[in-house]
Amino acid sequence: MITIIIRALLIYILVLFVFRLMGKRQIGQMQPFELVLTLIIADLATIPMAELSVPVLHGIVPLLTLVVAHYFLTLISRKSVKFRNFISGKPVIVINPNGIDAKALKELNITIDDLFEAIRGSGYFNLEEVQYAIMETNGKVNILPKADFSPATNQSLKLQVDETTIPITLISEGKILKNNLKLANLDEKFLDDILNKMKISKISKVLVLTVNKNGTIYLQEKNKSFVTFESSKVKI
Amino acid sequence: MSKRFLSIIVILLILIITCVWEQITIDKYLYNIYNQALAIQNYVKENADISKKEFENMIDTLDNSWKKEENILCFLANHKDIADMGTEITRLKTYQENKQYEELRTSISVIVHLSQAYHHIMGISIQNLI
Repeated sequence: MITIIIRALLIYILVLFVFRLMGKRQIGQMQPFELVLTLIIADLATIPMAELSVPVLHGIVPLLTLVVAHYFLTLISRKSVKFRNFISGKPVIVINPNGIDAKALKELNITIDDLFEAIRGSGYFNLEEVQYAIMETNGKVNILPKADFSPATNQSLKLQVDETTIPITLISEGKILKNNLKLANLDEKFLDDILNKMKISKISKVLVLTVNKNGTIYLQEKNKSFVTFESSKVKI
Repeated sequence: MSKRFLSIIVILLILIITCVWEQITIDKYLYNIYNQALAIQNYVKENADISKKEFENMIDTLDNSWKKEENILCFLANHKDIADMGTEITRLKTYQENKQYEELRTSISVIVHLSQAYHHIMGISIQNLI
């Protein structure tokens, strides 16, 4: 049993390392061959983990071989457009201003129902709303709606609005994020003042505290409702 | 050079070193066992009397060699296959001690076959590649 535990931990660390090396792509963003590669890696990892008669090397070697092969494949794909097109294919326009491109659907081996499902998934329920639909290389369908059906933007409404900024988290789960504090040009005295003002005795009682460019502070104590207020001391 | 690229190069080097080490180890160890087993087989064919001390020593040497090499081969081969060879060598010793000559002849043939078969399975050959 101890052997199984040690093997499982060893392979767990290796798989973790392998997936970090492969990058941060989500399942939905993967090319079909990348998804298959992920499944193969998962399968390879389980063999020496559960089967004690199989040497761990028999799991590690093919796993690392696939990682190296995948790295060089993606490296060449990045350098050569032709190679990338060969490996991943090209995006295909399945709906154009004339309607559905039946030839493209046939080449992609998808049905009209599959296309409707993908369009509905993008939030469009009527074909007449769609100007272009493009099937991406990862199988996702992206829609460009007709001008009449595209969502209104501040620019189209000619509204002038301030740029929004990402709020900076200063306290997370009772811990001060010192780098963020520096980024916001603030110090711990600023946090102490806020805590005194809100009658919070310890930093460890704070669930989250964020601040944005406009000086809006969002503060939530553990097991309590959040509060927001403005501070003139913030100069990001 | 990025950290990722360096990691891949390190992995590649580890893989190459592991593969070279594996082939050298298999060649060295399995040939050693094969040669010893073949010598025993030839001795049995050429000599009617296998109760001599010389023959006993040959089997002991084979057994000791295998015990030494078994630990290393466990890194590279399926443990069940490795155990088969160990079992057969133990049988050989018992047959020799009990003077079961017919069984001993069969057993040594099995050992010769197993050492050849493992070499074929673990070595590089076109049959293994395709």
